[in-house]
Amino acid sequence: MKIREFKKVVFKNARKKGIDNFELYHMSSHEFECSINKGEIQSYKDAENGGASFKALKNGKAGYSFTEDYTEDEAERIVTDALENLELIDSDDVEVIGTTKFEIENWKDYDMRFDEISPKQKIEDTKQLEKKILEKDQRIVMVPYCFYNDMYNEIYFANSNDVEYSYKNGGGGMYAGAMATNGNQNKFGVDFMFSTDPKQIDIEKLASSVAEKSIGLLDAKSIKSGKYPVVLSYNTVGDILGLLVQMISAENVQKGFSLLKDKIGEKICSEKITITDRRFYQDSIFNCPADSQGTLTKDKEIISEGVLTTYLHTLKTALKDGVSPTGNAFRSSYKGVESILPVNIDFAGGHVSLDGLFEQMDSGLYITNVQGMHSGANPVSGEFSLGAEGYKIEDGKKAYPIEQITLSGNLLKMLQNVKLIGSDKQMAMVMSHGMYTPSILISELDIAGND
Amino acid sequence: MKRKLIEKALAVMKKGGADFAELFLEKRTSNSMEMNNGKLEQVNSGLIHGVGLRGIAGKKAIYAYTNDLSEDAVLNASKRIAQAIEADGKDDVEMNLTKSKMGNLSPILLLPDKIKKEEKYHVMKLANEGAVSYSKQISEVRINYFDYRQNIVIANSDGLLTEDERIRTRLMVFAVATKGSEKETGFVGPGAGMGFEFFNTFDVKESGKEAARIAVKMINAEFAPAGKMPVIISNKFGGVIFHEACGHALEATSVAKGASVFADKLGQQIANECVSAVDDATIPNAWGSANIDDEGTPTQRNLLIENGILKSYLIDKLGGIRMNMQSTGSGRRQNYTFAPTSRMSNTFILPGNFLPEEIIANTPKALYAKKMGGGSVNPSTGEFNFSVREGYLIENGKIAKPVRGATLIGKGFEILNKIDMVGNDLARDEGMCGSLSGSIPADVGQPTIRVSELLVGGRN
Repeated sequence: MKIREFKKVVFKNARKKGIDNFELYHMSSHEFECSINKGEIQSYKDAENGGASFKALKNGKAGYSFTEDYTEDEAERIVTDALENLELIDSDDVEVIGTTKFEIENWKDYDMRFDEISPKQKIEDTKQLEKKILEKDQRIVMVPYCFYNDMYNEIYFANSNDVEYSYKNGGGGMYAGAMATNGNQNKFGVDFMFSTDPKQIDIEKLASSVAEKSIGLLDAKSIKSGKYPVVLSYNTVGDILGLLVQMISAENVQKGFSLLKDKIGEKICSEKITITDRRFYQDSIFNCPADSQGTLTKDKEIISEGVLTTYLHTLKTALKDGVSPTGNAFRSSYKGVESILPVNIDFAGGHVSLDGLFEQMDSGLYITNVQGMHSGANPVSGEFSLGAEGYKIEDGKKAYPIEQITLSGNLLKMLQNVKLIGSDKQMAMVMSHGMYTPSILISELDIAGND
Repeated sequence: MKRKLIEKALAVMKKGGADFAELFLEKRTSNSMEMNNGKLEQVNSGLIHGVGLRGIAGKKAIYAYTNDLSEDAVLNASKRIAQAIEADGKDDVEMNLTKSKMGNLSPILLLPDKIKKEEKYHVMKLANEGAVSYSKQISEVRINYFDYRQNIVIANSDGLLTEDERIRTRLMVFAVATKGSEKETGFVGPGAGMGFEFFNTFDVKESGKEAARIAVKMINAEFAPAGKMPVIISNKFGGVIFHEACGHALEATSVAKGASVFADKLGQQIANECVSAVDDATIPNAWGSANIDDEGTPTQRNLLIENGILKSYLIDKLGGIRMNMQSTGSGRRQNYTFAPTSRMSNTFILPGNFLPEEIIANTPKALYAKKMGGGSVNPSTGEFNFSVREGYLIENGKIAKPVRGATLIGKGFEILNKIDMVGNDLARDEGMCGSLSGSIPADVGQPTIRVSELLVGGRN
């Protein structure tokens, strides 16, 4: 059966069982990926799959079940299963489904421009990227990761209130990691470029950046433990802001897993900071017209000059807080349930160049990379302690590379101590949503070093 | 899927020039449930059902997957692989698969899909009670329950046609302690390659208490100091250090490219003499065990390091071709949407001679990492980082006070030489390991060990 036919059978079964409200979320994904090592194809993947999740609501309780088989049997099973699953729910929260029919406006589906490129060309481009990186400097001995990837998702949503829509998003790009060595120290530099438009993928520029990120850190040493002024690079800001994304989830707030409870309207960080969630950001592969519950996405300031203006909501959390849903209930797959995510986080840039930030700091550290976000950073407490590398800054300039240090602090305290914001806003590598962040200068962070 | 279609799909890839063709068919039913503060909020269950096809020619591997299992779709995927291989076609491509099945190492008593969800709910309730009743400082508790039943069929052009079933069950308890405006967390996540009988093997309420105990201990702790110091790492999840700092760098994925610090080091001393370690997927009912790997190779116990000397890597089929070595039964993948690659299963340091108390008593000043959190490593540089979930300062050979917020960083090849005491209290713990072929269940483990010096990231 095709999905729309499958949906009809599922909906018929659901009505027969007397379910009041229900919805079907369908996602099909197409993916192409290849990687090159030493001029040869290392991996190559060309694939598609999809599945559907059925959500049943009864007396304000919701149950879920998913399948990848669009058969009569499965159309029966997912309804029975979802019903059985909701019977167990004893939460007091009231689940609802979307009631407002809408047309998607001001939206253009991803035009699949990456699919117009032949697999041969994609492989050739990836080979070029590896070659160019290796040619940049003799000290680059290997490019352990050199990938091309493109993909798109087709989403189809329908519920028992006749809310129905579909859209397509996606894009492609390349990423690479290079290993440089000076004989006794290896350094690894990684960078990426992803876009909805293949023309934006500049192989030459990417190769230079990957090369510089590995070579630049050679001959790095550790430093003395202490408190230092710090410039965090745009990608590091993107990494650490992952904590904020979890803290502004209304679900985490309502359940007591966020420090931002009861902070709406309050100043939570420096007034220099304005952060917006955007449904559309130029070239972002995460752009999206509606969330996974039938709510249109929209632009909204989350932090406005330091003041927290909203949490991100699903239908359920919005109802509980007595506010409008914000269109932030997303499913990463039909296998899972909704979780709260932004579409594109846009951290407003300042007017000072990166070099300008160094000059203003005069003496301190420039952190280009942090490691351990998934383990060393706690979204509930806001505390983080991360492995880091970068450069020592002296007299307003890069003095020498540093390694084997840790960077520790608390997210909210750190954002209160932001002195200046850079003008170098770029896309940081986050897998689940867009993240556009500038470099920032922080007056003080705790550093542990080996020296 | 009919044998005829499997044989056809393999033949198409061979005809297109593959030296080796493989099919991985997966059907998996799963359940997940989430309880917040004693109330069940989410129940989700479902089915994934799809096929992954792979053709290898020379050192090149092409992968495709689909969950459209019609003959057209499967053969179309095979054809796309054949085209992408760009090798000379093979003539003699009669496929004659012989069905074989490995014995089952992990008997299952209570299949999770035969157990009423009410009983699973009851287990979650018990864990919640354990956590809530531990202390008034416990403000929030989240319980997650997961189980799955995975049935796979693996066939390849060497004539293999085999199948296997994997059952896994896990409970996760996440407790939050609050003091003023501060919050700290505690976590335990027991799991096994078992059915619902898993919950008869330990006290579920105690698991809840344990998560709560860690959160309360940490909310009342000072921040860890920063700087170089000896570190004693307790058993069980402490083994995450070996998993990250060494295990990943022994995987063919990085060794074959020469991108690992341990490439070309077989037979050489890479760790202190007191360190021996294994990767063993044959432990009955363990979280990371399996009868066969995801390429159909029978699993085995792999001695990785013996008295500090590197004995073996972890090798999958493609890694084996690239390294000119045999597979060690280490080809794994999250599901049919991932090509398999070399991965760990249950990986741990073998026990030494010291009592854990002896190690502490012999150390005048150190950080004691009683519970480790997660970590990560870059295999090319060996640089790793770990978070300490529950830490203490050791002063004058005694546990002095709890400390929080510590991170351990260093380089894998350095830490292996700095392990200078190994305890006799080997124990394992469960985790999810993420790498190129997705997120897979893996056990880590070790006895209590002492590292003579490590950088502790804390506050000044």
